[in-house]
Amino acid sequence: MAATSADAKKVTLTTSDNADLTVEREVAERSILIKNLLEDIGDNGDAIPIPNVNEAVMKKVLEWCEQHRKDPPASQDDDADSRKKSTDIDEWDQKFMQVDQEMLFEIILAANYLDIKALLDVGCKTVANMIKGKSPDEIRKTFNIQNDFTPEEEDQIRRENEWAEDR
Amino acid sequence: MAHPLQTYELLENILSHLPYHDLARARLVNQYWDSLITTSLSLQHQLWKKPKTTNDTTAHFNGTWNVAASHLCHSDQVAFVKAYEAFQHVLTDKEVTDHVWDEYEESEKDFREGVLMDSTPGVYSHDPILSDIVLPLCRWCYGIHPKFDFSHIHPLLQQLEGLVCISGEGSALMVNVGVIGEVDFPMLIPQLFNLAQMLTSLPSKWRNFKGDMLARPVCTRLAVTQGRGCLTVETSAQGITVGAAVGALAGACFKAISRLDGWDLDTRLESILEETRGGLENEEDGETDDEEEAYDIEKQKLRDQQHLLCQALSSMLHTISASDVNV
Repeated sequence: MAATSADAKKVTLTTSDNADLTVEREVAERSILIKNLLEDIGDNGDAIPIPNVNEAVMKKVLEWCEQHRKDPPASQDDDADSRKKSTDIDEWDQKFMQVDQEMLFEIILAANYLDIKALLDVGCKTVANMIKGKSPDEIRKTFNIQNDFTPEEEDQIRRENEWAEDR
Repeated sequence: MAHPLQTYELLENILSHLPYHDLARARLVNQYWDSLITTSLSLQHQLWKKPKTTNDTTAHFNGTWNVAASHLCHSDQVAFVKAYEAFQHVLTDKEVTDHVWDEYEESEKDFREGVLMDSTPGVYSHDPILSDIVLPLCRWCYGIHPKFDFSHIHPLLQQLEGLVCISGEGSALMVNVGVIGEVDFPMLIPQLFNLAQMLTSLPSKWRNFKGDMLARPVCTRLAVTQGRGCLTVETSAQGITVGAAVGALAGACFKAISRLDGWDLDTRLESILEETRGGLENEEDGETDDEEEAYDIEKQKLRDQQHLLCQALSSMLHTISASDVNV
């Protein structure tokens, strides 16, 4: 007898630190990378290696996938236009993204690698919200970025931006 | 793996969610951010540095004509679609000839008379979806059209919100500066004056970014209309610049204001007096000498304002045509 239908729908993922995580196939397939892999190699029950994501991040990503398992798939023609400039994030996602900066960036990288467009956008919007309203100096402090401009270069951009400042 | 803030496509995605001013300022963070913002085509579009020809009917609007039509009852739909087709004709015909304009005017008129006078706003003002995506009765053009999203246009022109009506499709826009000669027009005189004042105040603001900001594209086709008449149509595949757009608007505004006559001003004043008199119903009828005097003073004020604005606009138009902002 074949495995029960519930069992058949499970897949195992092996993270970069060799942890095995077993989840429902529908949840894992929020990731286009995993979905394509499963379609290509067929579901033979072997664990799927995810060499770029560690256990802690993978668990977090799967938590998001679980919550959004019933979301309609992103359409192919979702271009920059339809994304508009909204930084609105739904409540559950906002709570979900209340993590330290390191984890936030890890989630973005994982979403990008695993090809989960909606999660990637939520992550990027969260970072955009951290940038909004801040001065360049505050942005550098927030993300620990070095200022590598010469004073002349900085002046030049400031001149080009002058109108944007005096509002 | 590289850090998201050091990965081109990820940083581009993050920055794409920023509003205009935050994005412009983000260039100052470091050299990498600066080079990314100045080379990314999508971010340059967002900053209005590159023209963007688009067929996306919702590019500037909260809804589409199709959705709006689907919310009208059948007989209104027929009229609406006809008006829409004529409107599209105006937006796509290379030269708006008298024939094209007449056609537009006719079907718009039919639509307004058929739909607006009979059923709207009574019927449609209670439709939440319709009122969210379209203006049930636009006070500038007296039509139904998708609501324009001012947050997506050039920041200098965002001040136009509440002063003009903008409708259009894709990268073609139609700006209506007022319904001259219509019964309600005198109510719009203050708005028209405000528009003129806003336009004439622009040159002092654009000193700092002449040649950069003003050379940026707003749309690829711009029709400026004044109520039921077409004033100017500009077309450029390279994009109509902010400078050119402001010039076209100022020209239209000049014509509209210089055309104000005694009837317009009188009707305007009467409506003001009626409003102020509203609370004093029980007072004796008939105008006192004081009232007559106040009326004359107000009328003179309006005339002076009209005169000043005409002068300011014509000198502004002169400056624009003499400078290179149109290039």
